[in-house]
This record gives sequence, structure tokens and C-alpha cells, in this order.
Amino acid sequence: MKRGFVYAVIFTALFLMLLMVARIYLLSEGSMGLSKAEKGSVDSAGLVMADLSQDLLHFLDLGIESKTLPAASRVNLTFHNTIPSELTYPGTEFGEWTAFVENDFSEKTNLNISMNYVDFQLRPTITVSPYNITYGYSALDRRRLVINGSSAITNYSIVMRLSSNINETNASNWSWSATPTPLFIAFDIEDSEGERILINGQEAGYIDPSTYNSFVLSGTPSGRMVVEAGSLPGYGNHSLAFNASDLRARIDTTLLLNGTDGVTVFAPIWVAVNEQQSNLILFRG
Amino acid sequence: MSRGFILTTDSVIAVILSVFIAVSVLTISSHFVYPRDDPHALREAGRDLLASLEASGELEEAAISGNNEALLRALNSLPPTYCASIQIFKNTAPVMQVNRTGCTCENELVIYQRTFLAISDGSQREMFARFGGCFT
Repeated sequence: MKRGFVYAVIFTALFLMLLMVARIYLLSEGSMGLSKAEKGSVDSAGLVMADLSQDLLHFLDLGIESKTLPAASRVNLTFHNTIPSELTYPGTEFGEWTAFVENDFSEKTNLNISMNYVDFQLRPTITVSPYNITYGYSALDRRRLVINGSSAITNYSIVMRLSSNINETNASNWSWSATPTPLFIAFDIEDSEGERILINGQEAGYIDPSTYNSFVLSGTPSGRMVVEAGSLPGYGNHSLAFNASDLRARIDTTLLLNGTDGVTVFAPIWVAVNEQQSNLILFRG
Repeated sequence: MSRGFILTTDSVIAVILSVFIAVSVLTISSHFVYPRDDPHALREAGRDLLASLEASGELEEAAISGNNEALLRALNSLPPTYCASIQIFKNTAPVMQVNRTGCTCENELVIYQRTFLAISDGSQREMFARFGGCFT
């Protein structure tokens, strides 16, 4: 009889444990239903941030991708961009977008969204962490694009497609180095007629990253693109800049970075969703 | 007699425990919703749908051209038990609504909204898209 009693106790305990496990599982699954709060619209600060990041990338006509090659201790980071902005009044449009997000979108989603974008408006620049590289523009019209380099950049690969026919290339300020240097640059430039453009007879080579280099492409009947590389006033060594006037250019710039850390690209725009605040992260890779 | 009493008590306790366990199991299982009709999955589908339509430029294209074919195709590619619609607003004014072919939600179970920009002819329009969904 004692044995029977022990069996009964053991089986009862096992059944109760089974019930408890089932209950815990059910609770962990969130009871599979939506609460009233969840039924609302956008449900987290993270989703709003991701949404706004995509809007900002579209506003800048900017795409970012990266590939980490640990075996080679290298990171390939590519920016796909068009300069200048196709918007007639980009500053006004940017202000209208932020007002729309803070007012209309906040109200529609029942979220308290506010943005601090003063720094970005003054200097529309995004930062690549942890490589201490900035990618930005002199203003929201994106006529001048500057990559403020660092010694982590060993190679720029630039694909440029111009909207004008180029009839003159002046590269008197551009010096290819006869010997290897810490900075290699490769150009793949085509004008609107599909003509390939060479810089002093070359498409690729080494330059001294501590000296100033530039070349000018002049279009027909008008339009100019000035490309600068190396040591740029106000930006330091290993930098690269594009200045467009009266023409548009699709510019895909790939940076080869020395390192194995993945990149995080963020804009100096603070977004607060209800009580949560964060910088706008445009890309992680 | 004492053995008979103990056996009876034992069986009564066993019956009570069995009923308790059966009731508990039925209560718990009645709260379970199969993944097929999981509202979280429906909402994630809506979120992914709008994000991919924005990334591919199809939301923008629909907003600019007024052509809703791509949105309809995306809605019709959802699992067959999902009924959903996409509305596009310019600021707060509705400009387009697309429903999945063959169904309409009487009561939307999930709603997801996101902003997007429509840029054309040198100007920009601030828009948002609203996904509403339920089960058929």
C-alpha cells in the first residue's frame, strides 16, 4: 500500500508539472492574441526608426551596402548616390518631411514622434563607425559630395555615369604615382554618350594621399564635374570629393577598408518615439 | 474495512485530480491559436509587405502614377487565409485603396502604417501607406 501511495504522489506531481510547463509555454507565446495596444499601428520605436531611415536614404537618393571579408581583413563599403539632388527646393522639402513625421504621422500612429535634425540640416553628413569616415554634402542640394577619409581607406573604386557629353578633361592637377602608395584609386567614368574617360591616360593607379589632386570634366554645351582626391583642405588625407554643376552624375563609390569590424552608418538626427531616443541608423552590415 | 476505506478515498482523489487535469488542459488548449491564424504573423506579413514595396519603389510608383497593379499583385501573393488592403495617403488625405481580390475585411484585426516619399518632377510628396488585415 505504501508503494501505491508513493506512485500516486509521483504521478500527481508529474501531471502538475506538465500542466505548469504547458501554462508557461502558453504565456511565453504571448497567448497568441493581440492586445488593444498592439492592435494600434506601428508598434515600436525600432520600426519607426527603420521607416524614417528608409525615407532619409530615399531623400538623399543614397544606397549603402557592405561586405566583410575576414580572411583578407578587409571591408568593402559601397555608396550608391546621385548628385546633385533632383529636388528644386531640397531644404524646404526636408523641412516638410520632418514636419509631416512629427505631426501627421505621429497623430495617425498615436505615437509621440519628435526629431532633432539641426546638425544634419547645417551639415548633411553621415558617419561610418568604427572607421571614423564621414560621407556628406556641403548642403542638402548635394552639389558637393565629400568623403572625409581616414588611413583605414586603402582603395577607392569609383563608377561614375554622367548626364552630359564630356568634351574636355583637364587633369593637370592630377598626379598618378609611379610607385605604390597607401591609396589606390580606380575610375570607371562614362559620359552620356557612353564614352570612357581617362585621367592622364589611366583609369586606375596610386596617388599620394597627402597631396591635393583634382581633375575637371567639362560638358557640352555646359556642365562641369570636378573630382578631388588626397589631401583636401578642411578634410585631411585619404579624402575624395565630387562637385557637380549643371550636370547630374550617378556615382557608386566603393571603399576598401582595412579591418574586420562590420560597419554602422548613422545620421546626426535624433529621433524620439514616446520615451525612446536614438540616432537614426541608416545601415548596419 | 480500513483497506476498503483507503481504496475508496484513493479513487475519489484520483477522480478529482483527473477532472482537474482534464479541465486545465482544455482551458489552456482553448487559448491556443494555430500559427495559420496567428495575428502576429499577419502583422509581420503586413510590415514586411509595406517595407519591401517601399524598398522596391513600388509604393512610390503607385502613388505617382495611380497604377495599383503592383500593390494588388503583392496583396494577392499573401497566404490564402489572409485578407488585406493597402491604403495610400498624401499627408492625411486618402489617394488610393487596394483590396485583395475576392475579400474585404469587416473588422481589421491588424493595422500597420509607414511613411514614404514620392519624388518626381523636382518635388517631393510626403505619403504614408496603411496595411489593414484580417483572416478569411
